[in-house]
Amino acid sequence: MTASITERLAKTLSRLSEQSWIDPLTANFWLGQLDPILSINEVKARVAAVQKENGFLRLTLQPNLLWQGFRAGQHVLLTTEIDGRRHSRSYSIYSSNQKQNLIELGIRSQGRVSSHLFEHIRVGDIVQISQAQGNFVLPDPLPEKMLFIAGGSGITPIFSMIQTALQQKPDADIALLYYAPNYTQLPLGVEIQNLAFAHSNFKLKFSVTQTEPYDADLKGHFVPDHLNWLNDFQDRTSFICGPAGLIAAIQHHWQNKQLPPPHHEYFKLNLTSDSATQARFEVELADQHKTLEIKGGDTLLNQLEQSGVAVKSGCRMGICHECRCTKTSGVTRNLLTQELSREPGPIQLCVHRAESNITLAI
Amino acid sequence: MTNYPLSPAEIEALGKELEAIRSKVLAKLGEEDANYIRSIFKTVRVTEALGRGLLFLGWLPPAWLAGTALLSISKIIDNMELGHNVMHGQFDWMNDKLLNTQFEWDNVCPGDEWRHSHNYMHHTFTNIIDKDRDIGYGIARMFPEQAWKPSHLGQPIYILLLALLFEWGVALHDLELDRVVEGKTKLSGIKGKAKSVFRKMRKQVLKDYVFFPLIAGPSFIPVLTGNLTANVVRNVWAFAIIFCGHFTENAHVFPESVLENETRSQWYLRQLLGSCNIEGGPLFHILSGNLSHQIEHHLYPDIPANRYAEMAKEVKAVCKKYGLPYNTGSFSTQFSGMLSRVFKYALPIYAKESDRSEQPKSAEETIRLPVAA
Repeated sequence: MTASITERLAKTLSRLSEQSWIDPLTANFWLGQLDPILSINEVKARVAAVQKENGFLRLTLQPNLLWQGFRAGQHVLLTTEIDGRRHSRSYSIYSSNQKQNLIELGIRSQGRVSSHLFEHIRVGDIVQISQAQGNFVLPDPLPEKMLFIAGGSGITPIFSMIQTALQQKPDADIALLYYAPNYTQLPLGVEIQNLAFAHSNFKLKFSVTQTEPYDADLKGHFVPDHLNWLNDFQDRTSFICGPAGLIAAIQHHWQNKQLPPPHHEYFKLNLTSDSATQARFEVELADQHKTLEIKGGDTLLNQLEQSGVAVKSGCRMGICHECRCTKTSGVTRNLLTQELSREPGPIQLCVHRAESNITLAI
Repeated sequence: MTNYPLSPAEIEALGKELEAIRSKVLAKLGEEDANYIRSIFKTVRVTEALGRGLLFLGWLPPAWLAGTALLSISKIIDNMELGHNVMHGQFDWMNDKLLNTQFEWDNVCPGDEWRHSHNYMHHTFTNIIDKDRDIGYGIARMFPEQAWKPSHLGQPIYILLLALLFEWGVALHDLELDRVVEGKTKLSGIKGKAKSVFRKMRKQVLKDYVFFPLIAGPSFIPVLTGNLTANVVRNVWAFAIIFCGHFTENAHVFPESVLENETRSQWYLRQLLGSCNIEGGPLFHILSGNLSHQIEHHLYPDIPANRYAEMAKEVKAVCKKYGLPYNTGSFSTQFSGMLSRVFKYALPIYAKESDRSEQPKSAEETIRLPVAA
């Protein structure tokens, strides 16, 4: 019962802060003195367990009361601080959504943020996460037959979906084709095999791309023959998560067979090279529900104004911050410092130019 | 260009050296600076809690005095070292969702309006006559280059009132009411801004003069008087520091023509010549929001202010190299210099072409380089 009182208190404080009667900075400061996990507007989570193996980090998190749960297949934006700067990255939840007060994230150590977490995260740390995001989710009701294709750490959302499906319906008809470079870089491989042993209707096939396969495992990247172990792949609702190459190959094959396209989620962002000046990019203006095409070379301020978008501006030289707005996704370059901005966050339109498709919160 | 004592090539070289100082510090920003601003935030909160807490016992004179003093310090640091600097975007690189340019400070001026009149107007048009509205705040004549009106005779009184009610003056500043009175702007044009200003004023009044006194129960009066006093103390302190920033004895002002094709280097030079520092120790720097380093702030408004002290050493060296004045002095010198202007230019005293005695003496002596064509 105390949980619901604090929940109601948190919701009231949240509403008051939205109407700016309570300053969230101040409220969070004082709540944080009581317990760093408390906040009136941020989902925070305590790290309950840390497991590292072969470059794959597994975090078990206990979120605070603001956490609204998730659907199997979704991810969260995890924010961590490195040398004074906050960085956010998407990581998929691999745990089943049958346990909602605990979530498990699978993180491959490959970039600045994931490597930092790999080195420094400890049990007891408090991290900030977003609410669950993503459209790549296990459908409800459960499809009759399912086929999952995972490439590398693309297994994480898929594992959540498989676990959740099997908990809902232990004899669900599920097939998984799992691509990995080798047998040591096979995240969640043991857990997957245990699931296959426990559920006779769960069919599993591995393919290793950089080493010799064992037994009946497949070799190499996707080719249509890799589906021969199934006699009914066309009848299965399909889900694919992995690098762009794998997704493209699968989509191509499905198209050839005139099948509806599989549900998919990409696991890497494509960054353009420095021929950005000739490139064209899409800028989505989230609040205005408009998408424009702009040139890569010029500042965003000039480009937006030329496209007839009304933008606040001031000194136009990167000093006064009047043109500052939030970039919610994409990469830009600060022309004064030449630094790339990869994070969601505020940018000055007068000194930034697009380096990829971007979304602005204006 | 012809107003400056340096040749165009020298100005560009100066600009490059000043830019290099900036780049060096930008590359160093990190955990140290993030921790600094968070500790400043913590200081504001803790002094506020202690101050307001003590005021709840305010019928006891020592509690009232200590409570008011602590609340004054909290408001001063919130206004100067925390609010002003964070709202300049100095800590935006942290990607913090709340401790960034959109920060809202504890006084009656709404953030958006202040950002427009300060970050944009004041920092772009610094010390340009008839463009920089901060010169005299639209009510006082601080330089002989400004036109004299009979109303200026009363300016010592206006300035005294402005000091006591500074946060209200700042809040109204962006509405540019003098332009409305003169008919240059229509009243309907400022409606949106006026609403925003009114809402912030209402929120602050309700907070300091209704909410806190009410929840204090029997200590209603001490809390009310304590809050009022703390606001006035913060007003006067902020006014004093800010008016010392550009109106001391040796400050330079510029005609509008300097804006034509002004390069970044020329902008640096104008910022340098138009700003004035105040000498002091580390505590003074914090309480003044590092506006004691007004020169460094105007050269680098979006660099974290905790870095200004170290940058000052290099900026001073660059000034010496180019024979430029570095306007600094004790608080009493700078303040009395500012006050002298308030009294002197209340009278219709103008600068004469031939009368060089109006020119700052130190500038006269140090700028002896060939004048550009």
